[in-house]
Amino acid sequence: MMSDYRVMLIDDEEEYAGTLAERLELRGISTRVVLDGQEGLTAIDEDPPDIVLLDVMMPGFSGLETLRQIKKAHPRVEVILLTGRGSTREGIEGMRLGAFDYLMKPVQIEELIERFQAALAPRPIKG
Amino acid sequence: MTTPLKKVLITITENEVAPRFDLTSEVLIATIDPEGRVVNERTMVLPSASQEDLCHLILAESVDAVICSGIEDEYYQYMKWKRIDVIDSVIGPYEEALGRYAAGTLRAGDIFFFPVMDGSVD
Repeated sequence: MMSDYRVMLIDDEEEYAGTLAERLELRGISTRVVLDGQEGLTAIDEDPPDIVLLDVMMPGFSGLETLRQIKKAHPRVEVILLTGRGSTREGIEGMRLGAFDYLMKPVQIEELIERFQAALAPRPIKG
Repeated sequence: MTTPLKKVLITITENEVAPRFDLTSEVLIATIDPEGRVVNERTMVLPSASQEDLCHLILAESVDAVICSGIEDEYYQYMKWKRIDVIDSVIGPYEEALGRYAAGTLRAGDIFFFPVMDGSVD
């Protein structure tokens, strides 16, 4: 049974992205793979997913710039950053730009799914 | 369901909680069981004082809580965003801070010094 939310994975490493998407699909999570930031932005404009899983290090349009553009055009789409190098400054910048989380590769699938659920859980309105 | 062990990192300078997160070069990492007992304790000397590297260590060690004194707001906010409990502005001996944390009584801003009873000054 498929989950009631859709994920878009934006990562230039095709093999990694394909494998991760496969693992998520096996767990019933509808996952679309896009291989660069610019293409990702176009795809989100056409059909916004619920969550974007976004690689930080990409050639051309960087992950953080893609995040900035996503949040500008689609503030309700939650973005989880993925990185292979774990830089604190990068994490802080991601937080400032509105990412939901910043996770290190290789990421545990169970942790990822838990973060998806947390991202989509209703949050109290701050008064 | 059993409560898991908790891992806490304290920034230290000699016997006290280090006054500044960004100038910390030594940390203590302790594991606390659900009964509040410290079951493991180790100290680490960092290659250099760097708040970026210290945050990275905290995340790599899967620390649940950080006890420190002065810390820049963006690093405080970042660790809170990463769901780490940050107990800041703590001043005093780090063993006391650890004991109070294990007992569940440590709060941000706690200051504890023991008075010198004989009037001598170090």
